[in-house]
Amino acid sequence: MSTKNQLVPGISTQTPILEVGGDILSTNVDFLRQDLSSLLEASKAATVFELRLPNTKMVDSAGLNLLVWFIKSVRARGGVVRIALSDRNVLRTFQFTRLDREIEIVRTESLEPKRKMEVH
Amino acid sequence: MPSEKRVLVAEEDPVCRRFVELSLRCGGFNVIAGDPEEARRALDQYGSDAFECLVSCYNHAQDGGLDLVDWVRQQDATLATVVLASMQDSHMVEKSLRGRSCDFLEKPLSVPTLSQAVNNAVATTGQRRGLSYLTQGVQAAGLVQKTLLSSVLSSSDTPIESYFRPKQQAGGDFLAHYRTSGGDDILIMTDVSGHDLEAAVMSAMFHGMARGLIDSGVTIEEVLTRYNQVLLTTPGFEARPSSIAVCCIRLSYTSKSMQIFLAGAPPPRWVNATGWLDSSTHVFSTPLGWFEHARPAVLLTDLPSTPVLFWTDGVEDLAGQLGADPMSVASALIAAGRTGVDPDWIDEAHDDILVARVWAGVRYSDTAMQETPVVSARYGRLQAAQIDALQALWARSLDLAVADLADSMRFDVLLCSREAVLNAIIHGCSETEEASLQIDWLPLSREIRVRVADPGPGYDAEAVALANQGLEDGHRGIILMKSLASTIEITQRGARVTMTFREREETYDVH
Repeated sequence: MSTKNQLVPGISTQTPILEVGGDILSTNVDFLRQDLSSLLEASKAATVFELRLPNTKMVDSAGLNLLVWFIKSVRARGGVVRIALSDRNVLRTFQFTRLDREIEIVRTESLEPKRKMEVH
Repeated sequence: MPSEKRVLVAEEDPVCRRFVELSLRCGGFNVIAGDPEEARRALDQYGSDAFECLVSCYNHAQDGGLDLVDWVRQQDATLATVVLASMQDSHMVEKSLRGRSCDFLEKPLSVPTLSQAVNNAVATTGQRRGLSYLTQGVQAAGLVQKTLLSSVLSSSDTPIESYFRPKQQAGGDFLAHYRTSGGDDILIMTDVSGHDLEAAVMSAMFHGMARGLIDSGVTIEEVLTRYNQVLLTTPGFEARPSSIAVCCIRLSYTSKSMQIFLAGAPPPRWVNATGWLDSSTHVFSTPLGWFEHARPAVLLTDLPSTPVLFWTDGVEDLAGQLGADPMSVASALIAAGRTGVDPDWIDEAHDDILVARVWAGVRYSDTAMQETPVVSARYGRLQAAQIDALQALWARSLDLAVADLADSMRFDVLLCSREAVLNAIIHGCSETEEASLQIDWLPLSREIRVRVADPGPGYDAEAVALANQGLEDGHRGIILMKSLASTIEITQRGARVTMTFREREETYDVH
């Protein structure tokens, strides 16, 4: 099941943004991993990576493992990860696993309209 | 010779009225004629069922004709009416009459046309009244069924809760209770194929025969075998084959045992001494009326210390439609039977619905506070890929069985159940083994308990206990469960996990 993730025009070329299509679960992490890998490959100069989770209601342990992999990958190149989310249960999940200490979390009520963008 | 076809004519104009009256008398009708007011008085005096047709003439100046038609429809919807109108009024009258009268005729009239129209209306009245009588009969039969069921259950000193909803006014599901001279309780739940008056009659026939035979000392197994023969060999039944699914439970307090007889019905469920839901789902049986050689499946077990829940297959079908575990549907229906308020999803049922819970040998307490499993399932490794669908079923089951479940609690239960089940089936099961999941609702404390067990050897619990957080690898599933559950107990080296969840105060800080 694809998450139908979408790239969003960033504030600058140094802030690629990926909007995740839904939950991040064991059944779709492979698809998201592909999108995140493409994002990393296409944004070698970026220092801040933003993941937007407007429709994410649940992240299971496989989803957390994927996010950890992404965070480590970004850190390896000196960058940071910002996650914008709007679900309190997802926020609790990050807090209980202390992932919230490794990333910047932005609590949002609504997000900017998304536009499709090709990955170069 | 006056006919039995009695017609009431309502016409303001005396000449036209006389013409219609004489024309109909010549056609063999028994006619009473008057102006609209006189016609209304005649209906009041004799009753609408004294007539088979009303012929009403429209008068545009007074609109008396249409008023009378509407009045008659309200008093007796089975009485067909024929409206007569002049050519100048015909379009308007015809349009306004749509659905309100049986026929419409334009003046000037021809006698054959009038006679034919009234004949058709009389026939229509006959059909409507026949249908109405049948409907009332079915409703009466349904009322008898419900009354009998309530009476049977309320007269027993063994507490029995139930919920019964036939698909139509009367149905083929029924539950009977007998007390033997030795003090045993026998409950027989039946589901006759079809859910109409015929099914209700077949159900009554079975229960009548069963009661007589049991009172005579015939064993339950023999009762079922004999009735199977009745269905298969009675002349006339072969043209309209019928079958009956039966679940019979015999509770013996002297021997502290429970005997179950199954003929094509879903097996009863109860929580056993280990706290897990027990049932005889591996037992297969065929309904009565299918095969000559078929015999009921018979099971013997200890008398449970918890209530026994059982239902007809309409509940199983409904659970499938709703995407929920049958236990959650049955539990919600038992609660509905207690409150008398039908759940809004009950209209989705395609079959009769009957579910019962018997407290046998159990100290009868506040039934609303009884712990109840709402999900009980076994999963193998191949189902790991279907975990999203399984989770959706658990969610739906919780929503049906637990009123006002807090969103955060629901989330915690679902995420932790997902983690525990995935761990169990991926790491604790071989290709052919299965893990067990049970989700219980504890209404007294408003807690949910989740139990997962697998046959595997377990894991290094110490390493997991040391597993931390943040960016360290692995064990996030266990960390999630330990964080989100109110309590967690991990035994048998992790092969058994028991978690409880209770509502929490929600305070979140964004760092």
